[in-house]
Amino acid sequence: MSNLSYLSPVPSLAQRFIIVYTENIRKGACVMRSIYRVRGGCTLCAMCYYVCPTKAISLKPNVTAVIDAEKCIGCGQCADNCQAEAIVRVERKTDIH
Amino acid sequence: MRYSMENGHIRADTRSIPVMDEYDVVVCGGGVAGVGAGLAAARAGLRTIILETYGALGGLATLGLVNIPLDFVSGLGREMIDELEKLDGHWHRNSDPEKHKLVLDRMMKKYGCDVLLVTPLIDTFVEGDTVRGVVVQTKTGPQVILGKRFIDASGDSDLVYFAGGAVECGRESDGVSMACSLEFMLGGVDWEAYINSDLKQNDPQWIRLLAKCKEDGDPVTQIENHLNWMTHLPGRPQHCGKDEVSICIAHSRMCRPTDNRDLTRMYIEGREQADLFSRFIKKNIPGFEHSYLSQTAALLGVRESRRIVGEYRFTGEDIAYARKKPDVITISQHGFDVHGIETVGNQKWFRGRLPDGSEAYITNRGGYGSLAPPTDLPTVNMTELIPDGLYFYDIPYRSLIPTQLDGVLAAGRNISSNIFGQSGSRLILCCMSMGEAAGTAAALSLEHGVQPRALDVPTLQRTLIRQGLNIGQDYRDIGV
Repeated sequence: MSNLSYLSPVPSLAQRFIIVYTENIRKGACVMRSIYRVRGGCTLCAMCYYVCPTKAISLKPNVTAVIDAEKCIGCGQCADNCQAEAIVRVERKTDIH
Repeated sequence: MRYSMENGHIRADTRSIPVMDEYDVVVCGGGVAGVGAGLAAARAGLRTIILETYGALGGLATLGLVNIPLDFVSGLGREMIDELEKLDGHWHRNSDPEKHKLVLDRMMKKYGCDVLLVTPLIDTFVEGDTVRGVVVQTKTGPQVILGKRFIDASGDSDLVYFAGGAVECGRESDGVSMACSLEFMLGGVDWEAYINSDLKQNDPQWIRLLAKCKEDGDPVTQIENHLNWMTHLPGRPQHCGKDEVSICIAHSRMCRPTDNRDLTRMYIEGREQADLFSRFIKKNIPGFEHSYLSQTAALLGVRESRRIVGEYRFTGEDIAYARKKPDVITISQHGFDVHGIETVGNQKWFRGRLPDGSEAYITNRGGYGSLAPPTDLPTVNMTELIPDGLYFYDIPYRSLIPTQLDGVLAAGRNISSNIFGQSGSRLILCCMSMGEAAGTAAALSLEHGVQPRALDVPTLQRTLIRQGLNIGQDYRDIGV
């Protein structure tokens, strides 16, 4: 998991974020809902697919990349790496138990 | 120099060419591959020089306005992107070409790598099969730079070609290369209006728009049928309708990028196309109503031309099957993407073999591009060929080593490959990583006193991993 964040041009902050949150999610300490979404303008360059630490992104051939809301932890690396500015932050729901 | 005419050729008299300097590593070409090679060799403590034909480092990434450094970020590429971010010259994989030039200049200074700008390579000095020096053009005439190791990062395999090494070019049938593009920049763009427009949301590559304009007989539709990419320049005016974008859409077809007449044709054609497109965009694209053509690239975007014939020929099937190699020196994730050689559109598929030996049209992970494959054979998406889901592939060290010549390594878009393999491995950061690997290999081969082809590859791989280069060690056991 954490080794995938190695690809990001901004590692430290995002890396810490992912490690903390995925660990919290694993322990059931918090739940995060999908907060990133492919909006339009995807050119299927697939960078998001590679940087996503939870493999939440799939590529729909000749159409667009799709983010699985169930798997998205909201780290934002996909948006940082989207050269077409096609990925946007849409909502944020966090339940800390 | 004195010349005499003989049977339609000019014969030059024998004369001596002065030696300018002697280096451990001489890198030909100052694009990102050459920069990676030069920095890696200089970092290893070798006296290194980069020879660049134009007035700035970075090649297509800077002079070519291809300000879209895609692919895996690691090693020197990571450092470059970090430096760009410090200057507000990078966001979501778009860079500022001017700041990029500055960053590369500063990195040269930091690692103590010499650079000669405006110094084209004109010949090589070869003894037996070993390259000993290069002849460069200077303002005082030709001069020689001697060296122990040479890295051909010229993009067009100039060094290997001048040294008499085997090269190939373009497609196999007739040597015609992939389409070339002259990128151009538009200013005065209202980026928010564009990004929120229906066009960007529903037809981001302008495919339907251009198809509709084709029915109306718009001449631009004869040039290209989709937008290849548009980058939003970081660190420039925002939210005031003065954004700047760089656009890849102009294309010259039937290209022979090693023919100066044809190159000239493509530059002139590219500027005419930029003019046509800038007016088309101003008229048809939301947010571009007040845009203007601010510049065309100083360097033509040649995607593919002369490539070395090396110890291993990297092919489209290596990408389609995401093949992992024991001598991996860098990885890439970009699928094949051949820009229409003869016609508009891009071809993200090729005719290849399936595991059972039958033929099929193998398409890219994301689809077949804007040119659909014929229907005489089945079409297979490459995801079906890679069950483990690790779609990145390895560039092997052997692809950097020319078959006959000693003392030379290649890096960048001119590595040993076929046109489909090359169409995947040509991205900016992949080329930079290849350069870093080549520079490190040159340093190690000098340290161990062996030719690059005899270098112990696991030692090279261990060194690259230690330097922070991503050669796939996080995903699988490389065995070093």
